[in-house]
Amino acid sequence: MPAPAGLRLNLWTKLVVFTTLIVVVTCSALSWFFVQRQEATLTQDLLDRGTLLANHLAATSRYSVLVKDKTRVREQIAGLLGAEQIVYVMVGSADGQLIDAAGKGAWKQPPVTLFTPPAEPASPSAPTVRRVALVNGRPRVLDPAGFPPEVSESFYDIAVPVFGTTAAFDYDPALSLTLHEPADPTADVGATPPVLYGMVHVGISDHQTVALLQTLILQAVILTLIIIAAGLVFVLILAHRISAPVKALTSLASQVSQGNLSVTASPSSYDEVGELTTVFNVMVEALQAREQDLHDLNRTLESRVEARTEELQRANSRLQELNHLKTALVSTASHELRTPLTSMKVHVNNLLGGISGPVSPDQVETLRRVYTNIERLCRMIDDMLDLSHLQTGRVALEAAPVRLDHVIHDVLLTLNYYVAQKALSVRLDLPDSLCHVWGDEGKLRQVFSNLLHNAMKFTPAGGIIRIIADTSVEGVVTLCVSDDGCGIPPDEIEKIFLPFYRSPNGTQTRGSGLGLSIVKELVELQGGSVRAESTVHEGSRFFVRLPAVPQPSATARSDQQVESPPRRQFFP
Amino acid sequence: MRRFFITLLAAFVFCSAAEAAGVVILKSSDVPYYDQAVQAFRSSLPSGTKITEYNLDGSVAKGRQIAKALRGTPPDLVFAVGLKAALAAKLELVDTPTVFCLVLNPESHGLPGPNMTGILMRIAPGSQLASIQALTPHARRIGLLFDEDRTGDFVEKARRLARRAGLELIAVPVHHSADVPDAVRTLLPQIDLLWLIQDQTVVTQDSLPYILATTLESKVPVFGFSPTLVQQGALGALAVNARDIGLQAGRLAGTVLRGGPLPHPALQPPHQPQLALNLNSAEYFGLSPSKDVLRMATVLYGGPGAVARTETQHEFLP
Repeated sequence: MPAPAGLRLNLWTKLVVFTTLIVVVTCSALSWFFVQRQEATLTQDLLDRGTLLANHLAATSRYSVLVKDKTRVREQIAGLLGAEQIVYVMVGSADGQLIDAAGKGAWKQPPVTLFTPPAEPASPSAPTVRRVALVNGRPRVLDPAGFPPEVSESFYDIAVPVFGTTAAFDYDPALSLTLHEPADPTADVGATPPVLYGMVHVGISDHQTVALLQTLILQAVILTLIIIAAGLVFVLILAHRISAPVKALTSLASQVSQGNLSVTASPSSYDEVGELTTVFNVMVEALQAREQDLHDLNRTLESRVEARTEELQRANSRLQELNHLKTALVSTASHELRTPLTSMKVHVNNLLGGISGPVSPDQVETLRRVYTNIERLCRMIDDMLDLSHLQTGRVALEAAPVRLDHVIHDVLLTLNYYVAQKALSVRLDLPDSLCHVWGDEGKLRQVFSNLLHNAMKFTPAGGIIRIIADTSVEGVVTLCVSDDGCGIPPDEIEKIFLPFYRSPNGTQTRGSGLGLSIVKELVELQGGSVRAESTVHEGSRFFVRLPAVPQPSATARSDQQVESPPRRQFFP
Repeated sequence: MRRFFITLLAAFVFCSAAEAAGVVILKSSDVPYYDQAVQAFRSSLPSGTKITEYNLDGSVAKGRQIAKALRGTPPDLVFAVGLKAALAAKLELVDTPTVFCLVLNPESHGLPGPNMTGILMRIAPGSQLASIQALTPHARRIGLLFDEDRTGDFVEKARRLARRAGLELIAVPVHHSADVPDAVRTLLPQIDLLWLIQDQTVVTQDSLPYILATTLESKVPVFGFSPTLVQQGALGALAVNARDIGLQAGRLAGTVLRGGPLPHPALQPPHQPQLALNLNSAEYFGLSPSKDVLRMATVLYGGPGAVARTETQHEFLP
């Protein structure tokens, strides 16, 4: 299915775009994460350093704070201010009184307003950290999440409490007892909490941290760009290495599709693309072999068809020859059989007539049976001769307008014996205006004799045989002969007009199996057609279509007799 | 031969008495130096001595209950370790001989009682002044901070001894721990050495670092009472350790158990004070301790061959 024009990207573009995208996103995300982590780490390091220094000052100035020794406190503050990032130090007592404070740089005047008196109880390990800044020369506590635009540099105010120590000298009894032996030993006191002496505030600048962070960001950006550029180059090389063989294969496949099977692809690698190239070469070789086979086959096809046609023609000629021989044999045999049978028939008839002497009743009965069988044999031979003549085209047809109702009535008269014998009922539906048909009356008589005789044979006793004429189609007369017989199975209906064919349903009746074949030959000889319909256990219907003689006008009919067309003899 | 049998009989009688004797140890709490003293005390008793040890867990009331329970079958001797154990024994066991130790100021708590004897934690001022002189032979003006109520007697005695030794003891009284800084700043310019004594007003957790730092800055050496102070910068100290105290108490108990009288005076000074010396501080103060002093020093800090006797130092330094 062709892709929309807007989305039609080739393999090289897809590889380059998506891989580059992945490289860029990954490097950017990693750099961002690295910078974030570094920022958090540097900030935490700064705070840890400030807290450490504040705790150290709180520990070393403990007694100075307790006794509010301003001189000693000042010395200790001066020592702490020696650290580069420390911008101010404030030390106060437990009652909230500021003992001493000092600063440097922009914080030359220490922010005494930021000093908070210690609150009890305070945890020794919990420094209070606030972000502060100088706004218009005045100290201001900043929101931890915000950074006002007017502030260019922020600081951290770290406040730690100053507690008295509770060190135990477990292996120095003289010092331990001096420090800890209670004045009232009977008072059972638990562990004494550390006494709060005061508070130390240390201001620490994040200037160095920010500068270091900026350097880190710059380095991260440069490194990211270098990695992205290197990744891009790598992606381009990789895309070329993947797409170039595919393009070459596509070009070769296009040549193959145009019929050029002489192409060969050289594997450029040992990976999947290399395997594809090898498979492509195998495919082209297979196509070449198949093309050669087709060429050879095509080259020999004509001669083989000619040879086969000759064989078929020879077989056909042989079959036609055999058919002629068969027809001639049947004709000759029938003719040769008919003569002695006619002689036998005359002699039997003479015997029955008593010409050759008196015969007993039993002999009469036997002779009658002999006579009947001779007649039956003669009819069969006549049928075979008729069919033989029809198939060999040796039948002379004397065509003339024929009234079918007369023909039907005549045939019924000849078959009246059968009608009476089986108590059949024959119903005619022949219109008075039944027109003439164009045909040979004798042949038509044989046609309907065969059809009606057939119907009577297969209709059980007391059954009904109907003869219906239909002239609704102009130029055609159709006669339908139907019976109440056992019917013909659907798969047999096409075979009943074949010579010697007998339906399995009709095996109880006698017959040569030639009647319907003769009917078909005779009707078709006269330009008509015959067909059959049948329903098993209900009966069969035979339709005979014959060409009608054109009707003259009413005036002409009253004035003149039917003018017979000139008798013709034609041999279809 | 006759003397040999008499001696053998006497030894048998002594051993039987010692085996029958029962000693109860009352320990104020689980403190390592208490355990050291108890261990040393146990090791000094004759083998076979029945010893029962009780831990007061820092409660005088619990000690008194234990002591009260002992009244029914009083032991031959009670060894009280720490102030609370000594007070419990004093209050409940008025007839049982009791030896106590590791009490800083026994007199201020009414110790000892009539049936008691103890070993002091404080080293006699004479011994300390002798050590000071040995360490700093050129020091004449010795400064001292003290609380009149706590260590007035000691300072008075020290003042007399110093005068006798040709030294000038400049003792500045303080009444509160907060007075120490001003007193130190006032005192330091006047003296050659600061002598720190076991005065609970002067020596506190917080004043010690201050005093040590200030004296180091003023280049005034400190002589103290604790090896920890020496380790932290004091020049030297004459100190006691719990093991020696325990051994001394054990010997005292042995005497009592053998039927001897309680010693007089009832409070015995420690017999084996140990001299601790910081060679780095000495170098800082421009002092060169003599070979005799170095030989006397039990604990040495700093300098080449800093640790003179490590087995002893470990007792001070965990």
